[in-house]
Amino acid sequence: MQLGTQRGRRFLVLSPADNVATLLDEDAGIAHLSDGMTIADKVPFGHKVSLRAIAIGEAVVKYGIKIGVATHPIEQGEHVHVHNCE
Amino acid sequence: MYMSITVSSTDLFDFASSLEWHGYRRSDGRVGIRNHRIVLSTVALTDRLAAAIAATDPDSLCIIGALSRGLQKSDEVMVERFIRSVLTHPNVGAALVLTHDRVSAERLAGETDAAIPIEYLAFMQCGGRAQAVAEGTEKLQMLASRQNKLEQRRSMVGQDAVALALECGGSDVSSSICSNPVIGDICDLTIAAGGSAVVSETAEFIGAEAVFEDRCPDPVTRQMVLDFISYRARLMDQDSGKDYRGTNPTRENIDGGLTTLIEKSMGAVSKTGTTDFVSALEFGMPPGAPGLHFMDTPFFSPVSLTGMMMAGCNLGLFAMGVFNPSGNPLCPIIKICGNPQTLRHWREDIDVELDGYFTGELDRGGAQQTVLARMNAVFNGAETASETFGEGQFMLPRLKDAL
Repeated sequence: MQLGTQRGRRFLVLSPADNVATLLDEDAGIAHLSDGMTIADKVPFGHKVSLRAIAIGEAVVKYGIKIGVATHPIEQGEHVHVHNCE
Repeated sequence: MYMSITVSSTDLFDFASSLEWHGYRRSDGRVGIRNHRIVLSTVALTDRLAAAIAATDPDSLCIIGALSRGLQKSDEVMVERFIRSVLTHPNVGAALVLTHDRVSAERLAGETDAAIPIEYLAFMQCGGRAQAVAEGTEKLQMLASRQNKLEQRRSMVGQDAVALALECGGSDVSSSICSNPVIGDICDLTIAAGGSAVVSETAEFIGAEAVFEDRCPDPVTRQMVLDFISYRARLMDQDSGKDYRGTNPTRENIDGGLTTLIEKSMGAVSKTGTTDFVSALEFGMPPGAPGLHFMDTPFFSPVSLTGMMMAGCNLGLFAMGVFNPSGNPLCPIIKICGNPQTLRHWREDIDVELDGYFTGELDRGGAQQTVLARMNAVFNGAETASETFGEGQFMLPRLKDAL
């Protein structure tokens, strides 16, 4: 569990096992998390970004649970959604 | 304004151990957090007279479930289960039971093993409406004095006396990543302390079958939960003519950031924390042991809350996203909300405000302590918002056509 502070985008990692973070604010123009990690810009509130590279076929983990697999290679900080995960 | 404090799970245990829990210990060992003197209408025919009698005693709680007759066996069993569960509910300290006919009153009196003072009144035996209300009022006064003689009062109990109903309604992003996961933490804590919890609304778990495969060590429980889920999924598919798994997450869900069906379902699952499920229960059945239990119910929250009340839950935690007024008159429901807009409009209907989670003022540890502190206060007697407003219904699921 991490929660961002004032600088960069606020985010939430729901379980220590997760490889994605959920964005908690609407500042879609900012391209880094509050802990400094660079992320894609324009990622909306409530959407996910990867905390590390995820290979094709690898599990995407949120809530400590496999919620899907990567259908494309996902780089650290990339928006994770239906275009690269199912 | 919330303080932004970082609290590890160890700190949560420390905070929990500093709390005292005071409840009403019943002669059967169960613990209530309320001591209601109820007026129970056992059939829709007695609803109006029940309300008239309850109106004479401001300390009474009228329980009306619009209960039907002429039902097929499975529904009749459900009505009987409802009446029995209300009369044995730990939050009930005394009961006036109203029936239409004498035979029903005698049958109920014979079946009920009273751990509390109970009086019966059959209206067909009364000489008119005025006399019926007068007799009911007199019996209610008798119950009050019997309660006084018994000196029903709170005493110190352990956190193991907490029997949680877990619920969510008006679900949105805020409940899926904030209120529900925090409720899950409190559920874990409660079960670690020897308490119990029940979760319901089977349809919410469609897509999350893998979680139950992992968290049901008992193969019978596991199969029952999976069967409950596939049955509800089949019903929904038959009714809509669409494949639920194929059409979810919906376009709206995807716009909100949900990628897969299991991710959507995890919002609801996360309120169950991380412990294993001990048993799977049919609607309204009481669990036989402490721990976490799954109950098969329809997804309308007044119905599922009724089912969990019937299981003997003495307190509920409800994650609210957009506004939902659900409650249960017998089982106080704590409304927990992180959606800033819902909080702006409906603050007086909400017991725990977690919007600080989204503004950065409250972290998960702080949110856990906020919920636990409110849960402790409500357990010890503080009124919930839904109690203040008299929100909540008693509703049974519809099983078959009436005869």
